[in-house]
Amino acid sequence: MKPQLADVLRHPTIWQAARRSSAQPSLATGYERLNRQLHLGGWPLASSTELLSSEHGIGELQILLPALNQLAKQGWIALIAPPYVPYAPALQKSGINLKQLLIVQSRNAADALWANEQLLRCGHFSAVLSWFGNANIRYAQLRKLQIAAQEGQSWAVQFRPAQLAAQSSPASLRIMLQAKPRHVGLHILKQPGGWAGQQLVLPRPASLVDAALPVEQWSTHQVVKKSARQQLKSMPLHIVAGNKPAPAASIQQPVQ
Amino acid sequence: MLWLCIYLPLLPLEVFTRGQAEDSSQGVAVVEKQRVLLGNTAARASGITAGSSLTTALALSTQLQVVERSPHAEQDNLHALANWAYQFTPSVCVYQRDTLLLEVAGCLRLFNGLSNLLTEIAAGLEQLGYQRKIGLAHTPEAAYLLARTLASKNAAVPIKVPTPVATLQRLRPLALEYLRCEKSSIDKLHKMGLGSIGEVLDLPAAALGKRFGVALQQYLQKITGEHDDPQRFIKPAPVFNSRLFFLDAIENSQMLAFPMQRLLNELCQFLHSRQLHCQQFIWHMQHIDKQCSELIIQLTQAQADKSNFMNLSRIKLEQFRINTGIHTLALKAEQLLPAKVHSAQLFQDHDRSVSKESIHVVLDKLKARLGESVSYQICCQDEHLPELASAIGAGVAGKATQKAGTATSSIRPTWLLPHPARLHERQQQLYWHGNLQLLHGPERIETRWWEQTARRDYFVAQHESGALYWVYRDLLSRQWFVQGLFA
Repeated sequence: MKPQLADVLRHPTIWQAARRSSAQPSLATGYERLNRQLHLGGWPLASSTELLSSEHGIGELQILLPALNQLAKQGWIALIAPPYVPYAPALQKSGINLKQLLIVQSRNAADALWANEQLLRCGHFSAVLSWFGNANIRYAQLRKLQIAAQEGQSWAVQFRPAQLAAQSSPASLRIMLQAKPRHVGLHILKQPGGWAGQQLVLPRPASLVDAALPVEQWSTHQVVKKSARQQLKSMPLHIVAGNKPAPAASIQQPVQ
Repeated sequence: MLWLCIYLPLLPLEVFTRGQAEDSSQGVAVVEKQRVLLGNTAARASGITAGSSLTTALALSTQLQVVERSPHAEQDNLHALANWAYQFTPSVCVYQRDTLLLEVAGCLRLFNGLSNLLTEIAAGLEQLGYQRKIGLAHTPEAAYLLARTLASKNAAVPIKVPTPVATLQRLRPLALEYLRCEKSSIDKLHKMGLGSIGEVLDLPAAALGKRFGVALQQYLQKITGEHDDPQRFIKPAPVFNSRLFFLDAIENSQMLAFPMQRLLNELCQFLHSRQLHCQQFIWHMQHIDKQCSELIIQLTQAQADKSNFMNLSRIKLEQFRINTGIHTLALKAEQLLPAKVHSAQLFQDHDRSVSKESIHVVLDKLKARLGESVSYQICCQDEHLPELASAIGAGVAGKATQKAGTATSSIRPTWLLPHPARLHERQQQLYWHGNLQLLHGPERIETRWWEQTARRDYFVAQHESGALYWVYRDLLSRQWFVQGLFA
């Protein structure tokens, strides 16, 4: 190989399929199916991840929560300009430490970007989630955030509208989210260093969507039914063991 | 006893010029009763001397900037400076209207010798923007006379502690005019053929007392140390307050950076010498149209970090628009707390080689730029009504002992709408930007009977797009609302 060519290849922005970067830290997503599709085996940390969706409430936080649970143990988590009010009981229930959760509201995109960069860079935040809405964010600004995430060893997650899928972005992972009745659909648009284009679905929590089924098929219903049946089963045995006609009150006792 | 006298020859002028980065090329003269009292370097270069009349001065330099002497401001500055000097010794007094007196015999060991102490005082005054003459003697008055009569400004003083004999030897050749006594007495002494202080000191004290009164006799004895000369020491101010005046009104926020730095230096020395941290400081600006404006900088954690203070001030200043010129900049710090000082590691911890600034520094930066209530934390509350179960935490990271409510086992959404939104019913179906289908429920919540009863049935509903919403039916008004999203 010519030395000039070797120099070019050594440039950090040039990617070669044969040379997999192992320097990039990653964190398992908590969803086996998704881990298998990501070339790092999980979310790319110390870098930015972009989630594109035009709807809210389709499970966009749900797919992050297992990872955020892990990251919450290492440092603070910030939500920048969330579209709705984060609800403390639900977040606490999902395992996030509210004492290390910072919420930042901003009046405009410039302030949001500035706050984002500060938080990523400072090194105390293990994850910074930001919602930019429909604001027009330039490539250079996104790149700045990515560098800040690298410097602060933090995970930058950006939620952006679906129509920006065609725009180029410096993110290490871009996923388009789609709502499905009982699932959340993921379409990996880009992951430098690995193959993109995979589509997969992850189930929404059973407790939310189960109710769409007939009552007999609810998971909770099954448990209730089973335990009731067991109780009923044990009842006549008990009476038989006593070998005498039980008074009406004693039959009712185990049912209570 | 060893008295150190700091005489500020240019105080009337420096009160006004201290806020400038360097000596301006424009002439400035301080005027009292239509006579020039002091001029800066440029004014002196154009031939203006102390005592010349205002008209003469203006004739010599048309560009001359004239300011009326402000004794009030001088006293303010001198007292601020006395508080500053409190870091060297507890015995500080304001001796004359341009002189401070420090008793330093007790603190020589602390500073490991006189020369170290003098270097620190000189460096400090330089940083604060004062020219000084320093005198050292065994009595207050002798120190004052020596400081007054030093030939050049900022001149070096003896490095060794002077003995009383050596001090008197240096005082002897001084002219009688330096003595602070009635002019008639000095005239009389001149007529007696006496020309220097030494000759007067040689005369028998009792005889002098008979002819010139006890006051002069005692005054001379105070110089030599034969008579007691008690001083009244200052009590250190409980809060910090210092100000700078500007000759030219400042209209550009960039130009405020230097005076801010100077005042913050003072603040940090103040805090350091008292082992205090400050929780809040206020920049107070007076405009030429007699308006006032304030920049309040609130800190998450009490601290005394100069560069951090400056950064926060700079961020605040970027958002501040100066409409009219500023002639006075004052810095106040009144929320002072005892410092919690932590010992530093002797050996650097290898795991933490990356020097992180404290989380509080970052949060303060956010607050300074975005506003006070923009960054917050949330906590759980023990409330049945869903919108009350989540509350904005009181202070970021400060008060860790928030009463943590218990999380419910029921289904709760991650996002809540700021206010529940009304749902409509269309053709027997719920409608909110699309049709909704109920999946799960109901969960009855009935509470707050003591105020206004809320009775609601909560359901999980699926939007036609696939999103999951948290909706409820208000059983009192029989209307449907959407309150949250399951993200």
